[in-house]
Amino acid sequence: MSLPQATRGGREPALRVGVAVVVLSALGAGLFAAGRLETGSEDPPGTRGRFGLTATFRPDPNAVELPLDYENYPYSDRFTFARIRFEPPRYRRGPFYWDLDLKWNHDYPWGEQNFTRILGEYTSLTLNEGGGDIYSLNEAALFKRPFAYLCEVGFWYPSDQEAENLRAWLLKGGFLVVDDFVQSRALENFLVQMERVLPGYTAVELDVSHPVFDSFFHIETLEFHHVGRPDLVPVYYGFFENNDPGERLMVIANYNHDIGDYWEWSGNDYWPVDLTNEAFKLGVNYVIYGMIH
Amino acid sequence: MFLSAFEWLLGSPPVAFERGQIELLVPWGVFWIAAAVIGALVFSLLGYRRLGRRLGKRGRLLLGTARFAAIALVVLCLLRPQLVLSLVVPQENVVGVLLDDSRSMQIADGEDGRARSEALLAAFPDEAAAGRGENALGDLLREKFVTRLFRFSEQTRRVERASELGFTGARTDLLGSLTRVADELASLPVAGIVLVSDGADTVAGGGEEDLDQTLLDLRTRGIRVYPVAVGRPEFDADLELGAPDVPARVLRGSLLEIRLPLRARGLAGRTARVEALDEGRIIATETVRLSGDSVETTVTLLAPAEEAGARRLRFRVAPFAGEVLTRNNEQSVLMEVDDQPLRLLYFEGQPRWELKFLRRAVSGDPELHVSCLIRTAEGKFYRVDVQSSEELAGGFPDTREELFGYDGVILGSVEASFFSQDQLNMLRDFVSQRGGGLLTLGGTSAFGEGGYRDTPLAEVLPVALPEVAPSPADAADRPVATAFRELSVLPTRAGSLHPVARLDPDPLANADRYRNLPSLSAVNRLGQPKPGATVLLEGLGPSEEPEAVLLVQRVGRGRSASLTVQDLWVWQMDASVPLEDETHEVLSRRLLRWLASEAPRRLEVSATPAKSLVGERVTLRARVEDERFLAVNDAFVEAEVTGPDGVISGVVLRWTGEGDGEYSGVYVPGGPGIHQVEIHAGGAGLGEESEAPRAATLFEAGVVEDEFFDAEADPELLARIAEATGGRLFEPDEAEALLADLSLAESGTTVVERRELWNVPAVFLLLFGLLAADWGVRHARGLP
Repeated sequence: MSLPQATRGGREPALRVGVAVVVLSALGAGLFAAGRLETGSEDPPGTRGRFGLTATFRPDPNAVELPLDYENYPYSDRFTFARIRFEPPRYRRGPFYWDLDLKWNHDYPWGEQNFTRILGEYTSLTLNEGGGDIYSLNEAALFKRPFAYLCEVGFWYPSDQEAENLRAWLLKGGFLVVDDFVQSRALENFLVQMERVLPGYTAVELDVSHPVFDSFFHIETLEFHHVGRPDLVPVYYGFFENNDPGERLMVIANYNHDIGDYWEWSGNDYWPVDLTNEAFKLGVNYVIYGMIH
Repeated sequence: MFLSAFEWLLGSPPVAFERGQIELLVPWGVFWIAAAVIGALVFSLLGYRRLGRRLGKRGRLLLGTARFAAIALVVLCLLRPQLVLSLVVPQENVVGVLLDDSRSMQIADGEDGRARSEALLAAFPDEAAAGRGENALGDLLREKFVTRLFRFSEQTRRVERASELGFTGARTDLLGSLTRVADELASLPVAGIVLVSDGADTVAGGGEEDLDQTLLDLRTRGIRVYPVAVGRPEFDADLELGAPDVPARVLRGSLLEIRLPLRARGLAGRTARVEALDEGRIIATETVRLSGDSVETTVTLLAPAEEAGARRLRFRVAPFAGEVLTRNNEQSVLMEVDDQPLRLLYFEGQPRWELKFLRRAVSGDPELHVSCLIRTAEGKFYRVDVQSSEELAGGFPDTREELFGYDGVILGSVEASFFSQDQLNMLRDFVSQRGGGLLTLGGTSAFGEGGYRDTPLAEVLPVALPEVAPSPADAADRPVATAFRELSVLPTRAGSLHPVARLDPDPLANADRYRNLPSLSAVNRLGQPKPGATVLLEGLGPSEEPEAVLLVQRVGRGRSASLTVQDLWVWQMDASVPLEDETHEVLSRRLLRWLASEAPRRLEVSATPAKSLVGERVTLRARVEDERFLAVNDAFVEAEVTGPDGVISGVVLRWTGEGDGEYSGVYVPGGPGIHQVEIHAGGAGLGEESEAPRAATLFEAGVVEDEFFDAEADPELLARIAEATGGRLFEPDEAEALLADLSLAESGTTVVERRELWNVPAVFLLLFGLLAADWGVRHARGLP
């Protein structure tokens, strides 16, 4: 397949000129939502709690987040790509957006810019093309975006409340794509954190027969390597609703892989076109699967 | 009082004048009568002319008239007027006496708590006791007529004496009994039929035509009916539950909507608690405050249908002190709880969160099967939850056989131009002809925005589409569609009572449940709800007027619903909704169940009456349709009736010839209990043997309680019977008047009797009065 040319913009923000959305406002919105949550439901526990897990969304009062310039799309009838931000172990300068290496901002914003354009081009989705949103796990607004992308989980240490919030988001129907983490130390951390998010759930290695690899593009093989490390063998891990591989896939984790990087650099000739295509195909399949299952 | 005075003055009762003819014995020619009258007139005028000055004009007129009238009266008497009557010959005529033997006669609504049956027995004492009761109707009749007694309820039987009646008949068939007795007495000289009843007919019901026809037949045969009404037309205090309105078949797990008529009289200010029971377990209650002295209302009960199979639901209200009749405080109904899943098709023009969350909502419901077809790209479709590899393999169905195989269709955000004209017509017919349910969801390519305004589909939507809808084509560059608006959703009054939208039985708590839910959003511009539509949920947004969010409407044989928001899924996903909250699931399931549960199957069967007597004919009716839901008249339809003893009998149903696809057959239950009817149809166009349509229904024999419902006496019906046949309605204590009326028969063996009228007291009193007036005036004025 041929891909439209998307180029990486310069250092200046190629995004919409943003109004600062600072931590305090996010916290404020979250607290407001929490206030509304106080009214409990008298309904008997339903199918969502079948595996015995419960969760309630509340912003973590101790969360500290770096104020950053970005603007999320207002809620509408459109699909919006959402990236999850988290507090990195330490702040460093780096060749990423805002000149900061925040881990979660790798490939931002060009990854989603290019990917959403492909999504709009190839599918019948009504969507916000050319960008995406950023949410922390402390934001109620994340629950209006049932598809989210999380990267560099080797550096991801959610607080207890954040883990619970993610659990609520997943059990309610959210679909999470985890990307860009390599080597066993990162995998270990990811699994440890996921045990906090979904206690008792196990990561299941997926093969190409899973419906997620046939939801839009028919993917014949999963044998294409990490963007910059041909020596690594990507593995796709899944977390399933009720811990049952026959049920809905809630989380797909591209271990030893970085499809976001393929997306980001798709406009340049950094990476082979074929492999970039495969990365886009995976992304499109993830979105379509996540919106149907 | 008036009647006896009339009879004394004129020598005969009014009915004699009604029936008889007045003739003049001396038939003078008209010329001579006229001459006499003119002569009398001239004489009176001449007599007073001279007195004119002293009398004045008025006095002259008064005296002249009095004198003229007196002379005219004498002339009339000289002509010897006579009343010519046809009277029955004693003991040569037969009177048929029909005595009501039904259970409603046990009702003790008479004075001092006397039962209706006691009034009947008092009027017809045994011959041995004759003479003891004064002027008992039975005795008087026997004196003058040959009486033939019959007892009647659902059947009519000859009896020798009234004491043979047991008052245990399960029905009252007034018209049938009258016809049968008239037939039986056809060869005899019949003076009339006396009908002793409370008039509470439980067979003819509202069959006005039957009633008129039967009465006309009797009139043609010259048979007068003399009803004697027992019982009171209005009870002092009584509460009655009417026949429950429930679907014959309901899907397991559904919330069953039961509409129960309730009538109360004389219980103002009391509170009635209506309970619904399934096998002794209370499944729903509703409290009704009886505001007025006479209350007629319908109680709506929502009860879960949990177990599959034949269920008998009972309804009851605890009796109030002083109630005349308590057996009508209970009702029962049979129904079939079905566990055959409903099949629905959900078609989305694009991947949308609505689809994902709706799939999740119904996934835990074994009675709903929703096959999904999603257009993921132009010409590219994704199928999920299909039942076979062939299902929807060709995209959206383009044959009636395929589309009509579903009980319901959900249309998401897909533009009208996607469909061919045939497919749009099919979708319309799916609702109006096949009787399926259609749910249309809001979205960028739905309703007017999807170009549906001038399509056949718009005809079956519950909401009008406005003339100009903005095109979604320019949407690509806009961050938010201009029509996008958030709506706070609340139930309407109708919604608080509807099985789809009622989350809590208490209307206030129900509204609170909705108030705690987050806002939803809509992108479509819609017109007014159609006149027949019911708005269940409405949303308050930027405009002042609330807009309809969930509307439902019956269209032809089917149902149509529109959910105008585009993100009901927010009620599942939003951060403010607790994880355990089931509102989204409950609403989605209920809506889909409601939508499709009444979609007719290709074979439908019913049994009438659903509660029969042992030995009564139960008619099994079936409607047979082929895969395109077109009526089939040449099918082979057979029913298997399984009695309570496990014995299976076969009944062949034949095409009635009256309606397309309609078949009927008769089964006569031999014993009491629940009978299960299984029916299957075969033949051309009905598929292979294994796929041939099957259906089931139930009826119960030997439990008819009709007599205690609508059991107040109905003298109006009795009066109508009397009037139509030329008879008259009497009370039990009017035995003599009845006898007098009956004696003046036109049919039977009669003699002619002539009664002189010149010598009746009324003539003399009138003459005396006229002369006294003449004398009085003269005396007052000092005249000679």
